[in-house]
Amino acid sequence: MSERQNHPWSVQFRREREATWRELEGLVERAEKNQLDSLGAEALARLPVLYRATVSSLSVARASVLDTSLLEYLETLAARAYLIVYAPKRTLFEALAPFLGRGFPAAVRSIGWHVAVAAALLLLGGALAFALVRADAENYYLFVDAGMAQGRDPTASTEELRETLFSEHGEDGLMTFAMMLFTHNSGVGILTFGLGLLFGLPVVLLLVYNGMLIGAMTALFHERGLAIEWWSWILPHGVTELTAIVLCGAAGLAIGQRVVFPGRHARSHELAERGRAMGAVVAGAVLMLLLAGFVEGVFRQVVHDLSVRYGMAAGFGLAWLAYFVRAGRRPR
Amino acid sequence: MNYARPQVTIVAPEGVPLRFGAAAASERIVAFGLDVAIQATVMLLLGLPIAFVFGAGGVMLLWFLLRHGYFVWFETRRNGATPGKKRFHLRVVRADGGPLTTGILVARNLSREVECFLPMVMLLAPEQWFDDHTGLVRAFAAVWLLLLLFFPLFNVQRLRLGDLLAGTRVVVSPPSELLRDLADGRAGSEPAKAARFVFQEAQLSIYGEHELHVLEDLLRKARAPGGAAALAAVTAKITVRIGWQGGEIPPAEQLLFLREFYAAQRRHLEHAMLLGRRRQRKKAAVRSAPPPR
Repeated sequence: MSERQNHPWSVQFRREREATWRELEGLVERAEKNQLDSLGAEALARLPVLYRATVSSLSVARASVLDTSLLEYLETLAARAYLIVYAPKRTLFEALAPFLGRGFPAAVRSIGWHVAVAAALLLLGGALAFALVRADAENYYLFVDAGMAQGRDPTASTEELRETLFSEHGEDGLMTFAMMLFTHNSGVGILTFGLGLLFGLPVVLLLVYNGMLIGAMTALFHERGLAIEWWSWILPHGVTELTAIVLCGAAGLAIGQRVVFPGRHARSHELAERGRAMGAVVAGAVLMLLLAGFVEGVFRQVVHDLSVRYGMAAGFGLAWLAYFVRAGRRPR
Repeated sequence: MNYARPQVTIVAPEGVPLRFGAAAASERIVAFGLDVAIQATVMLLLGLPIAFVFGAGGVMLLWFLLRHGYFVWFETRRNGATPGKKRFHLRVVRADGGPLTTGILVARNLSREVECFLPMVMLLAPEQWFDDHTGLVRAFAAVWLLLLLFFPLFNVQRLRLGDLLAGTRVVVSPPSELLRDLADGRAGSEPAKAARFVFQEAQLSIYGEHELHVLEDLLRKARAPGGAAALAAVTAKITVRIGWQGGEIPPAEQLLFLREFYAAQRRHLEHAMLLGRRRQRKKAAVRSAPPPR
């Protein structure tokens, strides 16, 4: 019997390929410690080649090698290398331009019906509260608590109410105010999205409730004949802010729908598909809320001219409409 | 006999299923705690200077970025691992094997608001939320919030809701060492030499893969305390079982005997595996060999 025949087949298998595995292991170790770009061009080019060779070694070994140490080594090496080879290549900032150009509007378009339903819920809440408060001013307290009202309640005089619409914050307070609005609104938006996981029901409630808040306040200002001033106060930022909140709500509804009605495939698969797209919607909505925060916190405090305020609101409205309908569509 | 963690199998784009261990709940909680500690430290260190230069607005923005951006930032930059996760060799991977994208990481991290922060806030400050509700409502809310918070404990892979939502898994990927091949006489310090013991075909068709793995384990631990006694016992068992004709093995040669038996047995079984793809019955016959007593 020759020396070669005495050995199990896998001994030869390992001798022929071990150098490849060791080279890959070295690269993976370096990449795990530092960033991928610390490897250098030559090593980067080697990485996928070595990885695929090792993955193929692994499939062979699983079928015909009985050395557990070798199997274990190949399993973990292939797994570690997979994580390096398929690592996310783009940083957050590099991902931003294609996201705003195509990913975000496309994700929004993919849930067009949910957006419509979310907007309808918000309007429903608003209309309901508006009607109830117009019927009896006492109902105002059902929808708006003292903390939210900040003096804007039926006991305030018309002059006081007018003042809340044209208040001047100190110059240095504007950024703080903008940031406060942004962080608060984004928190609400993110929460609205996350609540979709709970079958979407809390999203419905949150949307209706937000609508009620606005509806109740609107009724109050309408009653005092301040309708034009009120809308000039709410619309410049509200167009952006409410759109963003509606988008978060729509994302939450879309997720809730998949939790309850999985569709063609397994629930986990359908939910994951939907969740990935909705992550984009919420990320975009948060950016919109950042913009809305600046408009609300800075612009609105400084500009008191009604026509400019309304012009701003109309501009934003048209811009968003065009953006979500048109942006990133492939030419046919 | 399986000591492995619960497995997460990811089919790589190459079509080969890769096996990872699922991260344990304890590891994930501690990693999360570490990340929160880092966030808090950054907040403390940067908060005051930023408050001084940019005012309260800057601090609010910093808090917002830390709270919502920290995880997404590190998981995109550092290949699915925040500093806390890295400490435990944890990584986020996509369940379907594709590459991680920003949308995925945003979805899995923003849902933490609902499954972690919301229950914690509600449970820590219940008077703010449930003051005017009956005990029954409070009890229901408490159970519901705890279910939300401890969702990962109710499934084997320790998935949180955010993992389900984004289709991700958190896995461990620790390195493992390639030990030398026991059947390769050339490896290591010993020079290759001709086999001292020769086994017949019939003697090798008794044991199966499981016994081979037990024997491999034994040989790797031969120098550990108690190893010699185990070697003697196993040598005795094997010589009886295979009907060894070469006389009793002296203690000095037991290790060599077992190593050569291991090599011969593995060669035999691997050879059958190679053929077994084409001749199922023979493979089945080898596998169904009677186990040793």
